[in-house]
Amino acid sequence: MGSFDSFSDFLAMGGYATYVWSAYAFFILVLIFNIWQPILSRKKYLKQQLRREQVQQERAQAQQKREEITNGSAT
Amino acid sequence: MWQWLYKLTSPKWFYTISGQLMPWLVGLTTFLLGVGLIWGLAFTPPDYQMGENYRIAYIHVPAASIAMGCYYMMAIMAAAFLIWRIKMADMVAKACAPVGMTFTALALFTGSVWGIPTWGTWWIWDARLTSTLIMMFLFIGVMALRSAYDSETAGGKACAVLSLVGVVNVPIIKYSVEWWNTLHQGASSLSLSNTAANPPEIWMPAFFVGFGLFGFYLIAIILRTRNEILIRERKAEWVGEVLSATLLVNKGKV
Repeated sequence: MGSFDSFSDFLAMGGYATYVWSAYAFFILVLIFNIWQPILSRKKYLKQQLRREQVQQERAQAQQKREEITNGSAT
Repeated sequence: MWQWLYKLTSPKWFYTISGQLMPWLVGLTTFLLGVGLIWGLAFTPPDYQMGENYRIAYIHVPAASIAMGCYYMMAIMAAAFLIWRIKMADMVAKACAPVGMTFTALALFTGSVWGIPTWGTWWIWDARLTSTLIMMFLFIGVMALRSAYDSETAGGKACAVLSLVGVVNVPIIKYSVEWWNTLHQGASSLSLSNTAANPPEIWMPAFFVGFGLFGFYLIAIILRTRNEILIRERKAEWVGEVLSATLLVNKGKV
């Protein structure tokens, strides 16, 4: 392929495989980190907001129930 | 032009436009990086002195220039925040620090790995390497400074000042190889400033990777800035709508 005779030649990188491939591995790592981290924190934030919404709903329902009970005992 | 700039300072406008732009940006970036990396790794001829090892340059050079560009971006946003108190500018500045830090780390790591067989050492305290290391510490310092503040505005202001003070380091990185006698070589044909030294088949892949990495940098900044908008503007009506819409869709997933 390209300037190499075979795929194993390509992997060997003329004896510089350790250097070339570790550099490219770090490159891929940086790419993954910069996408994965913001997506993860977005998910975390959405989860947090969802929980907050649920708590508010439960609180509202509990409040309603309490009002019903107090109204019932008054009559 | 001025109206367009004014619109950019609106978080809602930024959120909407960046969301529409994202698929195009991702497509273009994937194409540019894919072509550049395959071309540079497999199809360019080996260097007559360094053999195949010079292929590290196709990521080393773009990573270093984008790291420097990222610092400039952070400093410009810092100035905009200090002068005009644009909240949007502070959010982008906040996004710049971690992205710039990883790109600087990438430039340093690829340089070290390249240096072992070509220089015989992975590190030397010459002007280019030292000033680049200082830039990485500046990015880390800005992040640490922001996390030390509870108030978003006060933290933003402190970070803006530090970013502006540190910007003097970026031209030092750029011209270090001319001002001092360094082990690091001067601008190569892989940087935009000097394309005459090599034929196009050598430097073309670097341009693809460079523009691709610039696209990736924009994607990384946009992702972080959008998160920041959702957090800081959560009391705004439109954010409430966005949040409840995404929560409804993701209710099963998150």
